[in-house]
Amino acid sequence: MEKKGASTVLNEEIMYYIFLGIFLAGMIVALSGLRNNAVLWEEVYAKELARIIDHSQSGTEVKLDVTRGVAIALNNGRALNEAFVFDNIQNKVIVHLRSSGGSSFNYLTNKTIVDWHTERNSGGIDKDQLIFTVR
Amino acid sequence: MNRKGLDAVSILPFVFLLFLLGAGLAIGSAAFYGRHYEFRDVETRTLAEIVNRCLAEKDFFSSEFDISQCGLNKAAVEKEHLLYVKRGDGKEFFVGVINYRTECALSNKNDAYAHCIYFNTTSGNAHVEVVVGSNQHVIRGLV
Repeated sequence: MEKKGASTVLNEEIMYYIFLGIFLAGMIVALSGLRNNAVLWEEVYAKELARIIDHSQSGTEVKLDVTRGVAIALNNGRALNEAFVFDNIQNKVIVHLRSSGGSSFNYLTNKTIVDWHTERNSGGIDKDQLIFTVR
Repeated sequence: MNRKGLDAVSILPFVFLLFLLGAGLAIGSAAFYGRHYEFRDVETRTLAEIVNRCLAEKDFFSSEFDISQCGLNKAAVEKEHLLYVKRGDGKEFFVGVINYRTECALSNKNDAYAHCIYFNTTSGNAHVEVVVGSNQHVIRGLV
């Protein structure tokens, strides 16, 4: 009987730890996006890229300095090639600078984005460029 | 035996405390970090430029007309935008959220409402009134 009682107390203690664990995990995920203002920068890049696409003529090659965004993405454990993504089916710019999740924004015009990639150029000052062609 | 019942009840205040702590942190961080990059006016100007150019070239009131002829993506425009054109004879054409016409008039009173631009121009030989608006927000989450 004593053994059963001890086991019940242990289970209850585990329940507290499980609740605490879930809470802390939720808070870490929620707050990690706010680190380095990653959420705000995702929004800035998504919207400005949508504007660039909407104002570009077909055939335009765009080279955009994304040094700040790349620094945030790499700092949050993102791979370079997943920071800036274009969804040509849904007309969306998707930016992932947080450790999980991202931000997307629709561009309005019927454009297709091809050959997009991010280049890291190390020199006196790091200048990382997002390069893509609008068709 | 009593302890089991007592602990089952006492976990509720613990969960409630966690909830309060979480809510406090969420409200605090949202107030500090939850700024948005306001873009609706910029997007509305882009849309207005495209529509103005297109009105000079296309007949919006033709049965074959589709906004893809203006280079616009219908699916993208329909969800959180308005493109409304009214001809001098009262004939109307619109794509998107028609309720934005009401919101546009009140957008200076409530920031949650669509931001719009009104302008007059000619299409063919007809005078047209145009309203374009946007209330597109960035989608955050697992995208």
